[in-house]
Amino acid sequence: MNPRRALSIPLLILSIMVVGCAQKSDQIVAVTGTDKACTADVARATAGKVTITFTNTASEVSEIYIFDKDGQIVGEIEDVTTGTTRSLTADLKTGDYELRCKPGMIGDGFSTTLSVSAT
Amino acid sequence: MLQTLLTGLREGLEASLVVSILIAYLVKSGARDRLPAVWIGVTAAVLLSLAFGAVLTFTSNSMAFRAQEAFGGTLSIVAVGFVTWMVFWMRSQSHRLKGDLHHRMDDAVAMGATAVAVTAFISVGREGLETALFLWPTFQATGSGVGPVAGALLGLAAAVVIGWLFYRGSVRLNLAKFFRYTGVALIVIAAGVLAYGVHDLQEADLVPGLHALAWDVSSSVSTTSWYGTVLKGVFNFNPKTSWLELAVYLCFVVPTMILFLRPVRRPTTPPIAADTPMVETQGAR
Repeated sequence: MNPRRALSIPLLILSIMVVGCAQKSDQIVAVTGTDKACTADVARATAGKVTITFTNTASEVSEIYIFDKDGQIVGEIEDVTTGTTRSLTADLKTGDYELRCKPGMIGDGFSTTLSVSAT
Repeated sequence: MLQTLLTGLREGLEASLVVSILIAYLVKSGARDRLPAVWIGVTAAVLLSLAFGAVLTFTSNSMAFRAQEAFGGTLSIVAVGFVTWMVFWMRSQSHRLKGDLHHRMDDAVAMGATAVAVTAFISVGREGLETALFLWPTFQATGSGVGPVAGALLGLAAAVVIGWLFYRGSVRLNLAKFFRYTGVALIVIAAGVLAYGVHDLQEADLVPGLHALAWDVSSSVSTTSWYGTVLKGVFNFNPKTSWLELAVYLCFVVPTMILFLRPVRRPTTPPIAADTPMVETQGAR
């Protein structure tokens, strides 16, 4: 088997997996993390696919966690450097979620609540 | 600028070390003409990562968290499989090479070169998407000047330079030392990747025990510090290591290292009984 052909197999699998993972959602919650706070542009969302965009305006590298009411991680974006915005999509069910920004990727950070309702 | 530099370094370091060992291996075994296969693997992984990263950054598509973690975790474990197989394949080749230095290029090496290319592709691709998802937003962020972009590129360049220095150092070793040292390095790196893969699968909720922590030193070891960068970049050290990660790490690294470092059976010496302690077998020689 020549290397080109050998490579095409993982290449194909990888492509299918990544394309399959990419999704669109209608709801966007824009979260901004500063050195002292974590704020979202909306406090409510509807159950379903929700895209969280996280803009880091803190002076250090930051990350954001989305926890459900049981404290389980629903989503996480790591390594968001100052001035950049990154997003992820999560399937949110009814209930309150905690959005927690951690400037410096250390300690407890700051959090805000996102309430997800059925309609 | 320092933030993006350290992040770039961390993301690139491990892939750079693995690729440099693979290249050194081909050079050492006289299969220099197989190097293009490695570069094809690396280039394909880099381009693919950049392309997918760009799609996810610049369009309204984004990756579902669980799928992303499941993807990263699975790819990590596949990468460990390839690297481990590679290490033992190299080990078997090293003894053949020592005995027959002139008959280097044969089917076994050719076959190995393909495997090396695939290993290079997977090692780079595994880190690649994560890196692209950090790199593109840095380019996208206007208003912060060229500093962050320059930092990210410098960080990646530094990772490549470290890989190159490692290569330069390793090819100078004699064959026996070369295979031994690079093999040990690859096993240690692979163990870290495996633990990281398990962590990803825990985050994806496919494997339990994310919150059962063996230790949590995240308050004292920051991954944004330079030493945190090196620990994370080379050993995939997680400041919040779960018991499962630790168990998987040890269950991989200990037996693999023992198997790798065990004395080699020569065709002329009688087979060593599996239950004979290593000290005694060495003493008997």
